[in-house]
Amino acid sequence: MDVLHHLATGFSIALTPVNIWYCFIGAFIGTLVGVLPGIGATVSIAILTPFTVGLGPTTAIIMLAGIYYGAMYGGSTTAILINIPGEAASVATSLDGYQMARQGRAGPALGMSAIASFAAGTLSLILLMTLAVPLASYALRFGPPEYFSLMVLGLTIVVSLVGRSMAKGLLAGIFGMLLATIGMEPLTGQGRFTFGNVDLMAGIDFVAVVVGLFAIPEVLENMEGPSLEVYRAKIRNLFPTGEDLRQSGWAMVRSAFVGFFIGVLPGSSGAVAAFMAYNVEKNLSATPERFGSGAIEGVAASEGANNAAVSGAMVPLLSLGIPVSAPMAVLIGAFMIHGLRPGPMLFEKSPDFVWALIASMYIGNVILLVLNLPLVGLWTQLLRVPYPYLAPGILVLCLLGAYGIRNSFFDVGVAFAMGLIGYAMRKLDYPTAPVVLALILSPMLEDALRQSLTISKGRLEIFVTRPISLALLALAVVSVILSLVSRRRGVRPSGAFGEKEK
Amino acid sequence: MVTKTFRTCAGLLLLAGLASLPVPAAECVAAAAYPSKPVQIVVAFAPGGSSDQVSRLLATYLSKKWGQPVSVVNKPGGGGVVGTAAVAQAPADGYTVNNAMVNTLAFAPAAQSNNPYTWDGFTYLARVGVTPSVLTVNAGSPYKTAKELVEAVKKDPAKFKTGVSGLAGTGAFGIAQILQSAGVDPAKVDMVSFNGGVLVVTNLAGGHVDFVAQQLPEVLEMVRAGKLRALMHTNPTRVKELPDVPTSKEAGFPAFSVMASSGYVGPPNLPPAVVTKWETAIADALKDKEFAASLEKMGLIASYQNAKEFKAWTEEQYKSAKQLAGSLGLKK
Repeated sequence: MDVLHHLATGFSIALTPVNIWYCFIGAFIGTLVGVLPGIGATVSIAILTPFTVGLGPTTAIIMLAGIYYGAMYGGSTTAILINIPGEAASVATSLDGYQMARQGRAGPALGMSAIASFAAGTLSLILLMTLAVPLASYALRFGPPEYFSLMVLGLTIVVSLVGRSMAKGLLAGIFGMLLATIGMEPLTGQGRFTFGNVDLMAGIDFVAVVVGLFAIPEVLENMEGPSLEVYRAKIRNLFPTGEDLRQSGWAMVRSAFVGFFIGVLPGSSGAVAAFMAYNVEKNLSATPERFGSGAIEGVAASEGANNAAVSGAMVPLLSLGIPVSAPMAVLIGAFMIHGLRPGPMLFEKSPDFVWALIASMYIGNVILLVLNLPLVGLWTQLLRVPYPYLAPGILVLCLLGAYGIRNSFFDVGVAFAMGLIGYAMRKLDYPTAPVVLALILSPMLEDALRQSLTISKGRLEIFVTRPISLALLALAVVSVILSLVSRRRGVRPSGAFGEKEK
Repeated sequence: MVTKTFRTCAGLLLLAGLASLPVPAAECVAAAAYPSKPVQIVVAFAPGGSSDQVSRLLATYLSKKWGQPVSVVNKPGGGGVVGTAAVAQAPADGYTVNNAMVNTLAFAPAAQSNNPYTWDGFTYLARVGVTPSVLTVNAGSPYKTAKELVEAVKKDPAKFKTGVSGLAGTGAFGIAQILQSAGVDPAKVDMVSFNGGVLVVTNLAGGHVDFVAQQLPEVLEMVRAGKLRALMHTNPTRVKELPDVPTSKEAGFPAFSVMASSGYVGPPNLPPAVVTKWETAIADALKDKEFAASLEKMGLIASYQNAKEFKAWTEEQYKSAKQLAGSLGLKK
């Protein structure tokens, strides 16, 4: 078989000691920067690219790609331990992961995120190998109307994140959409709600909002209690039990598919993939009420999907030269510096490079698993630090993250403001997850809506006359119905999502 | 020691400013030869774009040349306006400069009301290079030349959709130049705006829009692979990447001339010594083989202009953009 032959060649290149070593370095750096909020894969790849000039192109790209998917592994760590999702892709992980940590199950949550990342990552690589070429044209068929319908589907996830009161959940979602409108209007560049302020023109940054809404209120609320035992239960075990694995098995497989196919689409992101996979698991679960209060499948789905999305994103990158996401765009820059021209001819012109890269991703996933499982013990030790010492550290990390993303003090202010808003929302029993989801999706939704209506000259039929768009809208309806049904089925609507855990 | 000198100088300058005394500012600059401390290049875009890549390359080169760390700081947001505005307000000492693209420097002030800076609110240092725009259609399109396409658009403008990345960018202005010179009102053609050049090209390849005028590196590989067809470009001479594609002059549309540019500016009233230092450094960088080769790989055509030429060129772009902005329905 052609694919196997190519893959064998790929492995023969990727398995040389030099390439394994750089793959390891990339994965290691990726894990580290993934752990720190605000320093993401994008910046790290951009900074390190000039230093790879001396390496061969294949070696260099193997290392830089390692940073990218390594960061996806690392991103879950702070999300689980201290409720700071360092990047959009790990927001869904924190929903259940952090609750698990509070119940003394940080170890299994971290272990599961590594295992799910590995399983879904590997599975999605098989999809990448076999489907890359046909899927490239599928990605191109996604025009603005298809994106619009995809974003509508994404927004329906709000329904499964609303918590106890549907009205409050939807209001939170609308608040997120309103936040997203601040800044430059995408077509003409006029300011919206900027009041002539330059910082507001840049819009409200996602990281500032997420640390503000998730992490800061958590710290504030924990300080209220008479005892500062936040991580109340004893740390029970370090690794997922057989029961955990059984519960999450299918979640890993499904998240690999969801993550991969969302990842293929230019303009979508790991965050969309993670939320979608999370939603699928919740809707299919026999016990949806566990989601949000420490369901391990939720962690597996989210982490599996954001890793599978990386493999998905390789499809348009390798077969068309189209970067799906910001880290991919930086990676393309690195390709060019090394004289590789990413584009429709890369597979034909540099097959050795492409297949060595794919093979290195298999190896990288193994390295990351081996690297991350021992770290679980180390990270959980962190939770033994008394909370009065841990809390300032968490706050510092939050503000560093908010500052680092755009080197802006304004964003630090936003994080503080959002912290107070988030605290008030908790006290008043408003969920915070819908705000973040809406903030991520609305700019894409708005773009796609305006583009579609320009194309159709203002006619709304365009969304139902195109088959892919129609199918996605139908899925959105199904998703809402399923969420409502699973809400009914739950003994009590789900506990957490920013609500107080009693 | 260095800091002390610097502080004394700054203090003197401040006093001079307060009392309007003719204290010799030039002497201070000479006392602490520029650069005597780390220099920051502000990139107004996220890492990975052309602005970022060029600046990181130049930062590495300058650090070696000047023996002072030169670093890149990304301040993305607002289509580049936020980072550019920050530099316009930075202290005029030459330690904060900006990688300026024609979009942020000339187009934003021309097209947007309430833009926080003006095109001439900077000290111009030097231009590094340019990137031509390319009129491109899908390979399945029936139009083989720019003339054929424009004739068809002229007949029935409402039938066509074009893709741009914001109405105040090189893509939209390029299309407006072509249409205006052919006597077509640009407002009659539907402009679908995407978030970034990559998505514009993706949508052209997917057949969702009919023609675009994006920058050369964005379309190059798709054209080479036969998925897209390039009809003409704005470089004054043929480009070696696409030797068969005519220039806009050859194709009969000399008005189509918009180009993206990459250059450096600083806050207003930088000392002349700083300007000279940058002019020389960038001219030398372009003569450096390794630097020039990397520049080419990024798709930037080296095209040096000194401070004066760069400023004059930007003014031209600004004036032309102002006129085009009106035709695109952008009010000022």
